[in-house]
Amino acid sequence: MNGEPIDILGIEKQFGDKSVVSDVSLSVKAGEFLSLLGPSGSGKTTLLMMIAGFEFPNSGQIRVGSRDITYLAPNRRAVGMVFQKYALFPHMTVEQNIAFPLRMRSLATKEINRRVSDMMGLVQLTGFEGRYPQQLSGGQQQRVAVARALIAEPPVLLMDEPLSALDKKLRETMQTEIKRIQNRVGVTVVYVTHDQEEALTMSDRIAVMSEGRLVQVGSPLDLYQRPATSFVAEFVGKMNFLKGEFVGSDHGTFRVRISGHATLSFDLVLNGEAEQYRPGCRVRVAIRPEDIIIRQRFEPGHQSGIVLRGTVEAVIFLGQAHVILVQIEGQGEAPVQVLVPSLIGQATFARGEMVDLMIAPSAVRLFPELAGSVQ
Amino acid sequence: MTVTATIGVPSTEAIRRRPLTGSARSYSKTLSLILIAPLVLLMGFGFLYPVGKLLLGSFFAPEFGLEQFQRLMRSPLYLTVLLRTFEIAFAVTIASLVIGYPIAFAMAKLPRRWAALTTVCVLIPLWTSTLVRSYAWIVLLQRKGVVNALLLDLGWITEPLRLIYTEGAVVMAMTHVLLPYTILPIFAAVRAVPNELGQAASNLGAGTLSVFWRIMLPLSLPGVFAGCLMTFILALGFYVTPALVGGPRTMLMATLIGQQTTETLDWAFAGALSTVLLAATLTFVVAFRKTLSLNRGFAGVS
Amino acid sequence: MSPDMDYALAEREAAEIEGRRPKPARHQAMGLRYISGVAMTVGLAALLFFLILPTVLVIPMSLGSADYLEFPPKGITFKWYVRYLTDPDWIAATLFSLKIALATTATATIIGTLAAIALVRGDLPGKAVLQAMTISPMIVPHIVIAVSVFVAFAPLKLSGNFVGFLIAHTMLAVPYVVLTVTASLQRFDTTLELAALNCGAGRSRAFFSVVLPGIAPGVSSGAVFAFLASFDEATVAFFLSGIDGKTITRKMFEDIDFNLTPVVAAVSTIMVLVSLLVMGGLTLFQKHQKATSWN
Repeated sequence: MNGEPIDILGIEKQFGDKSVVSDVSLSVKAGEFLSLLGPSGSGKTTLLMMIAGFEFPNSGQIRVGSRDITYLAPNRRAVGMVFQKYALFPHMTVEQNIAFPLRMRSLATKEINRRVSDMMGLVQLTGFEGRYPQQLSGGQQQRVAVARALIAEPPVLLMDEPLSALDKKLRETMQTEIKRIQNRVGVTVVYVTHDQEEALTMSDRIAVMSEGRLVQVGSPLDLYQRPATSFVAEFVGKMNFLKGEFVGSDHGTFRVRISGHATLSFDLVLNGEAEQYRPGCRVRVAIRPEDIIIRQRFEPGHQSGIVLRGTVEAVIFLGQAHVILVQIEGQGEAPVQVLVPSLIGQATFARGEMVDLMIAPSAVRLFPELAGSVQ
Repeated sequence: MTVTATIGVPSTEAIRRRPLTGSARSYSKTLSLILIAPLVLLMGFGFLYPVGKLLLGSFFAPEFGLEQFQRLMRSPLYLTVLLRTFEIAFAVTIASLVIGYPIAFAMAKLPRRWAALTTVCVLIPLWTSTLVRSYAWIVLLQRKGVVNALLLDLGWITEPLRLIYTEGAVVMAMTHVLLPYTILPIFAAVRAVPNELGQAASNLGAGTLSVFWRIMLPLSLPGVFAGCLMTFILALGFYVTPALVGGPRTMLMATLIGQQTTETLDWAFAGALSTVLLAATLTFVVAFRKTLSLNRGFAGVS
Repeated sequence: MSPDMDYALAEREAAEIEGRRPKPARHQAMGLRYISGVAMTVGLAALLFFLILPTVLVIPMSLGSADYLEFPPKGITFKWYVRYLTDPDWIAATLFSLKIALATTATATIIGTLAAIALVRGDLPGKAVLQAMTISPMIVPHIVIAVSVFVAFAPLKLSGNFVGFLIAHTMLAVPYVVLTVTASLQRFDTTLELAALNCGAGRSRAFFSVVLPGIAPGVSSGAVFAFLASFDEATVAFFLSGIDGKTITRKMFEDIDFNLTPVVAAVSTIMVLVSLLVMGGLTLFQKHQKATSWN
């Protein structure tokens, strides 16, 4: 079984007057694991439904391999799908559920039995053939759903938030499990999720959607390190936004003053159109919690960035790390989050303590102030 | 966001296949019309055509005009029947509520075993033919019927009482026949009130009576309205029970229409009476349509 | 209803208030509760007696040996059942009713199920009007329907005949099917149907292999209601029956008026038993289904 590429070109979808997917173009490579990531209402599920054929776009085109499937009936697409709540047929046994796609294709009973038993082995459900779905645990139902979606050897597998009904521990096991099965069969996967952590863990590439539009497509590392918009920066991973003001540019180096603090010089790519940044305009300085260095006091002169002085507001223990919330002068109410690994013997910080935060220019990304947003 | 070069103009095949609906979740308009067509034909020929014909017919006899309705209005006899129909429907509704509410409450709130027993007692009459149950009231109330036999045996009376063919008999028998229609919506409403509300009220210091009076009763009112409305509407146009248990002296609109159809063969006048009865019914249905919930009684229990 | 339930209730409540009140007050409260509990039990029992008695009364009355309805019945005999079974008029009416009821069940179930699907899942103009029309036979007084159907069908030679009854009874029964199937369809998870399509099933195969088993409880309830709506129907049957085509309910109507022998009680008993068997069977069947695999 081999995956086939999916090409989506200029897809538009309206429900009534409301546009839910606008002008989405996207190519998925054969055998790739691509996640559609976005908050609810971002159009990711609708896009998946159009690939499955449950919804039809108002305009645009969807191709799998060399076939145009835009308006093809869902039962003729050869696209496997795992539904959010599995959608297993409650009146059929596990075996009958998995065999269903093959029966619809009128295969010989012998062939069906052989393939079903192979598939039961692949998803590690051998021995559960005669059970009914409601006699299985959530994880087992999930495996049946994957098996049913893959039994007819479709070149493409669609998954609609398949793990959202499981608890955290089981979800992690199933993530590995799904990846293992995908590696074995080589199918192209389009995986819808609103869980950024899940998308980062599982995907070859992630397509971030917001309000019906594609915002950024890239590898997990790309999205994490080089978010294209402040939406992506905020949605993927944790991100601090400091308020600042654009001071000016000088031969590719940009200077930004962080409100209430010193000026920071940058040597990096700006996000958005360069003309957006005029001297005096407001900007958002984005930095990840793990990129901030925290000390009780930095020796002056030994710094490779600027230092912000603040007060510890709270210390949250996460297990492998601490999150320290620091209130910074001139930055309003929202505290800055700093991630510090929990090392045995290392003193943490106390509430109310004054601390220095050091921000290196290389770890910072700059975004224009959101239009219409207040402070 | 790269686009493969192979993508060009959508193929004509794809355009031809473009479905009429934007979604596979709902059936296409054509298929829906095919599915509903038998029902529309059935209702058209079996319901709309006959009822329309009868109602319109009453305006064209002998020629177009309100002749038949003027006849109705002129005669005190017919007006008495109309008034009596409303009185009896009202009495039946009140009696059904008074008897039905405690039963519905017991069905919803008693411990499991007792609730089941009560439910069986409600469902058995609902499932049996109204004709059989009306007949049972003849057996009970006739001159040599069960009630008279019992009273005579007990020595409380010496002469059989005249029970059947009275308004009281009609009210009692119709109440019995229509009782399940009152009980089931009330049951559904009472059952929907979470027990925690009562517990919370008790916890806040309310006694058993005030828990009922301030919590259960107000929250079950929608069911009470639905049940009473259904009962009232059915009572207005009920035929079988008054035809059997009521005599000529307790003529109601339904029995009068029947008599005009089969005995006097005055179909135009029967049509006029039907128009009046239907208009009265529809007035109540439209006025209270928000409270009316038809499927509660049938889908709710089993 | 026995008092032990109230005793248990009273005890439980007494246990709840124990500790909050001094002992004498507790005994007093318990006594009052006990008395009001007994009063309520007696009251409820009386109401249930009123509900159930007239329905089951016909059973002993049908077994009396006297030639008229006698209470209490003296002697037990099945001769009225024998009389019923050997009377060609009664048998003809029974068979006619059964034939109509079975045919009505088939037509109403099919027409009603198709319509419910269109109303719930379809793309239809004027759904509200169609729904109102479907339900209207439940609202419009049956006497109006009966007289209308009689007046309209008589000139078409459809009165007192199987086809006329089939049309009229299907029209009366179809709302029950539409209501029960609509309720099941609304509970049915449509993603199951999408899953079937995704598995390669066409519309009709998806319907028969996944949707229909899913809504089967609603369809079977609807079918049973339709059967009883026809078999027990008396008002339309009274007007639409002819000399040859006469339903069992019309025959009962006539005999109640002109013939007060316990034969009618025997027929009534049979009708009660048919209804209870059919409905009770349905209830038990659905309980069983719920308990085993479904939902």
